[in-house]
Amino acid sequence: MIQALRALGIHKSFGAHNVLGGVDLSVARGEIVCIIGPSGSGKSTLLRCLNWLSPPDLGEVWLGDTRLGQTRRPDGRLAPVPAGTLRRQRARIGMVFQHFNLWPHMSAIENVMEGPRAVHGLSRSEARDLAMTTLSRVGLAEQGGRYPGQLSGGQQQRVAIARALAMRPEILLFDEATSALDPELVGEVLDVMADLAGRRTTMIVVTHELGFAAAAADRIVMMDAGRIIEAGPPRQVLAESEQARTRAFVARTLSRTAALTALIAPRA
Amino acid sequence: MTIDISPITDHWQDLVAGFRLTLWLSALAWLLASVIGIGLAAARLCGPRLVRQLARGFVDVMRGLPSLVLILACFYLLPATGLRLGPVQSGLAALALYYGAYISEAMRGALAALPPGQIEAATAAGLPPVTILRRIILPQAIGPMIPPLAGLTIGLFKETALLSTISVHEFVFAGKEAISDSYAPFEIYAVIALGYWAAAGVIAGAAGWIEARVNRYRRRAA
Amino acid sequence: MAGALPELVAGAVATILLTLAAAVVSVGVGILVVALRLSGHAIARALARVYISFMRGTPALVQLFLVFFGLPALGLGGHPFWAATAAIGLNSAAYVAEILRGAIGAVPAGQREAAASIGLSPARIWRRVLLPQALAASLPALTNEATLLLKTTPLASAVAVTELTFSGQMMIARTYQAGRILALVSLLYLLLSFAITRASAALERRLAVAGP
Repeated sequence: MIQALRALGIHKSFGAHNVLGGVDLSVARGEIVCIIGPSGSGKSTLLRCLNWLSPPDLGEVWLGDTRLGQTRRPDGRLAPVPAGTLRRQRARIGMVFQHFNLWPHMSAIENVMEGPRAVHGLSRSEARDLAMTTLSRVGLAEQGGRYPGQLSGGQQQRVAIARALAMRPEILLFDEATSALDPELVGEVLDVMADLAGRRTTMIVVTHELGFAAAAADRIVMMDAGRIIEAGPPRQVLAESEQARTRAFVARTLSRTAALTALIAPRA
Repeated sequence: MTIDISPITDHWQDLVAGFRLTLWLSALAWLLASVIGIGLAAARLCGPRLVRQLARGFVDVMRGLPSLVLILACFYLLPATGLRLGPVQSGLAALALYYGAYISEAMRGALAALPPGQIEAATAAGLPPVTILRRIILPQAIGPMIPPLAGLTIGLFKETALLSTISVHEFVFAGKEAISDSYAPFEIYAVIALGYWAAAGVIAGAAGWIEARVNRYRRRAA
Repeated sequence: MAGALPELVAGAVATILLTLAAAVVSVGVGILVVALRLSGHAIARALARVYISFMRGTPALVQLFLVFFGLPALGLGGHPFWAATAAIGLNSAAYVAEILRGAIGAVPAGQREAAASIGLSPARIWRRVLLPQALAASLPALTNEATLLLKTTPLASAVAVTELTFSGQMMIARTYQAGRILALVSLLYLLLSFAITRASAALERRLAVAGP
């Protein structure tokens, strides 16, 4: 069975600072993988290597049976692919960013339509129909004509998800998609993500939301200091980890809600 | 297309003389414009209401009028006031007034960008106005002023070319005389353009050097 | 003095036409130059920088003469109006390019990343994401540049284009009424300046309604 995405030996440094020190990751079709870990562990950097937005210094990424971003020359060495090829490869991967990155001078539906029209060559009406369908899937059928400035953070992120979905990607990458949202808006975005997970969309989700990871992930990957230190089903990583650093990280995250839980629980 | 440089070498002396006059005119006009500019900026920031409005009106008119029109106005109208003014003086007056207005705007902008609280604090502490100006306002306002002032200086330098239309014997006028002699307009104007370009580059370089030094001082003081 | 008005108004109309034509050249060439300036090719960037430096470092009058005397050599003779349009437009384009360069740089990088991650081509990103926002954000600076362009049109009188200043000069030569004529000419220029500012304000209002 060909994996949806395979990353092999990913190394990345920014100047003298080594951010990723050799990461391997495989994701099967229909699998949901959540990447967790402290700040600075390289989670976002890894994600941006996976769609070649930020090419790694060393390593390979395979999308199905296509080598991403590079091609092997007759002399055996690897060379960057032409820009056009890279763009077509990127179009097969969807990405949702922490700060939404919607285009503010275009309406929600225009944001969603742009990719299908420009890259897949859909006509304006075809793209519009596709965009309407996708916006409905994220619960924003009525908001198509609105501009990002007129939408709440949660709505903007859902438009961003629709924009990624409209490209019918083979895999969806989420880069801390809820970290920039006000707490009460996080839920609506997580609901959409959970819905996608339920439909067996292939997803890699970098997140701080351990609750979401516990419920939706097939596999949780724990990163620290540029390496994967643990990977496995949610129960193994979150509840039964034998790694000290993982346990410490989970405990720290839980302790923030511990006081709240303790306060509420006795009255339940 | 062959390029024949004999028109240029034949008239080299005249071209150089014209360039020298251009430099002279620019320097003089710049000095006058700076004085007018400082005066206008001061009038707009701390004069009585009528003076402020008059200054504002003057600046607005200068910003709406083409400099060539102003030059023609000074050329035709100033001598009528009884003063014995030739084209050079009229031209200088026009450029000084025009750029004085723009310089005052650049200064006003930089000064207005200063947080007013600083001046309040200094006044409350009892510092005399001159000291406040010297030690608090100017050191901070000078840095942001330099880029727009550099642009205006180069603009003024280039605009002296318009004085050729009122027969001032500056660089472009010298070029016209050379052309009427040799019928090689493109080559001569090309050389003239290069002359201006080089000089503008020197002015820009000097401004950059000044700005770097001023900002070094500011960083140390901060 | 009332007799002066029709001739001056005719000159003003020529000034308006010249300003509009030069503005079209200015924005068109300006967008081209900023695209070169920001391109990935070092030669393109160098060409753009030289162009901008030359246009900003030499007097517009000299540029006008170069175009006026240079066009016939390229086989493009014709009415001086077009030489003036080209010269004034090309001059202004350098300033427009710098204005746009700043505005494009101000578009958040994340928007470019999102476009790249969807697979949009650089040309498409330029056309649909960067330029529209840059133009809208530059409107005040571009209005200022339009006013400066208007104030550069009198140079066309040096190649005998019968715009407002030239008409005024011819009338002065005939009637010797320099004061009155120049007052009228000045008034007309101030009116045209004002019209530009008003038009820009209206455009800004329309953009605010249509956009975010």
